[in-house]
Amino acid sequence: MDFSWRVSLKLHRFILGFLVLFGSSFATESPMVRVEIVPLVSEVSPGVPFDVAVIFSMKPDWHIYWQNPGEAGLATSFDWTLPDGYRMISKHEPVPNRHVEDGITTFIHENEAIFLFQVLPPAQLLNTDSFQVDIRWLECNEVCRPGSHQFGFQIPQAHESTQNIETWRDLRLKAETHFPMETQAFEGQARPKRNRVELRIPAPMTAIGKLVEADFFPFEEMIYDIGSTVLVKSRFRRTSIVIPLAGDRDQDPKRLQGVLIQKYSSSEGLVTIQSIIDTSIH
Amino acid sequence: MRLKHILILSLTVLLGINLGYGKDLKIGKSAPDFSLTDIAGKVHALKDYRGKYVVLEWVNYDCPFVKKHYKSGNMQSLQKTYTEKEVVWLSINSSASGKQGNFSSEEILKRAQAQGASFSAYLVDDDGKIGKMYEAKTTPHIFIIDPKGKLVYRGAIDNIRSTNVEDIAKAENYVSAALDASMAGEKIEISNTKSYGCSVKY
Repeated sequence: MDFSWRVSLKLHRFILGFLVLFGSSFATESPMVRVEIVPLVSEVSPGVPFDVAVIFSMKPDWHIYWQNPGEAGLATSFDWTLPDGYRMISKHEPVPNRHVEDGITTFIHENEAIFLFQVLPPAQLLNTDSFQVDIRWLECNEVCRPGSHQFGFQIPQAHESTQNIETWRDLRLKAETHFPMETQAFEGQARPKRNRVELRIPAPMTAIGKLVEADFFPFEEMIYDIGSTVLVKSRFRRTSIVIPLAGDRDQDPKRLQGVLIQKYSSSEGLVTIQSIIDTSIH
Repeated sequence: MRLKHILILSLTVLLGINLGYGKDLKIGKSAPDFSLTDIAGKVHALKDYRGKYVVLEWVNYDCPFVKKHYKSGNMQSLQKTYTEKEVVWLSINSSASGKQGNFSSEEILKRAQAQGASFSAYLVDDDGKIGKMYEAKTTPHIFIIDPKGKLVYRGAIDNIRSTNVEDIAKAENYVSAALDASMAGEKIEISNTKSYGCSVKY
């Protein structure tokens, strides 16, 4: 590669980098939802994972859907096409809100939802590493509109400015406050009952304060009665979360998998714990 | 205290029955009877169709999921195929007055004719009573009742949840599979699925 070509390539990458950093070419806007892609890196290093944020900004009263949309709606989907050798390591989605309208329960994202994807590059990088993601969503208030956009972008080699590092750090922190905690193991016991699962909360948790409220967003569909209230039961110093099962379920769940919300009343006020739970039911 | 509990329980049970919420709506059990008026003013009672297969299709012509199946001709094709086999196809709209999908009879007729709908009747349930009785959550949401009046299928029209017309050709159609199997005296392999679509606008 001659010098002029290398300069030209670097300039091209710098321009692309500029567009990446300021998001001008990586956003799409439907009447009610804006979707923006922000790679939180300006340079891909071999074998070093990096994050890509997808930011949904919704107009007031409009929403999109969580991975399990609930009784209606459609999960927001991301179909990635990565360059050869790249792997998607993880996807983080914010905790949804429970939305009940006319007796129909859905799990939604409102206002702003930041998804974070972690990508692992291969040990050896090619010159033209282009990324593509096909995003589909359903935006609803009283009516629904399908939305979709195919983003294609490159992550050029450029030097990170301090300003961008700070912007990315702030964005990542903002996103992380809405993610459920990743829990390796939940020490509480999940027991099957006739029409419910009872999750006994371990003592270290009840030491935080009194569990006053709980909710559960299952990953699996058609197992739990998501239209019924998740209850907190305290008996003989034991605290349990009661998760109702669907009456028409085809099978009983073997594992309790989803996002668990626990609200404890403590001397310091209300403490909310949002965590991913994946524990066997026995 | 005990008497109070019994009274509360009895009231709850009575209220539940009166409101007709279908918690006991189960595959293999009798489908709850109802009667509704169609857009021409004719009353249709489910029990009048005993001896025939009945398909209940919850519909809202402005919902993008419903548009997918009508724009492609998929729903009309199902309606035509099975009504020609003596199946009674009842399209039901449970949108409340002023909400999306609630149209005048003239508008429904105009739209139905424009898209070549082949239902047996389009029933109006604008107080949502029958929709709630059947726990209809989405449009479309399909229920199949056999000639003995038993519910044999409930759920989605097919297995690809999307608003894309192109997906129809790739999808497994649960409705035709259930009807074909049941009409041939065979077991319905998939009889209970999660419906997908817009929420019913009760």
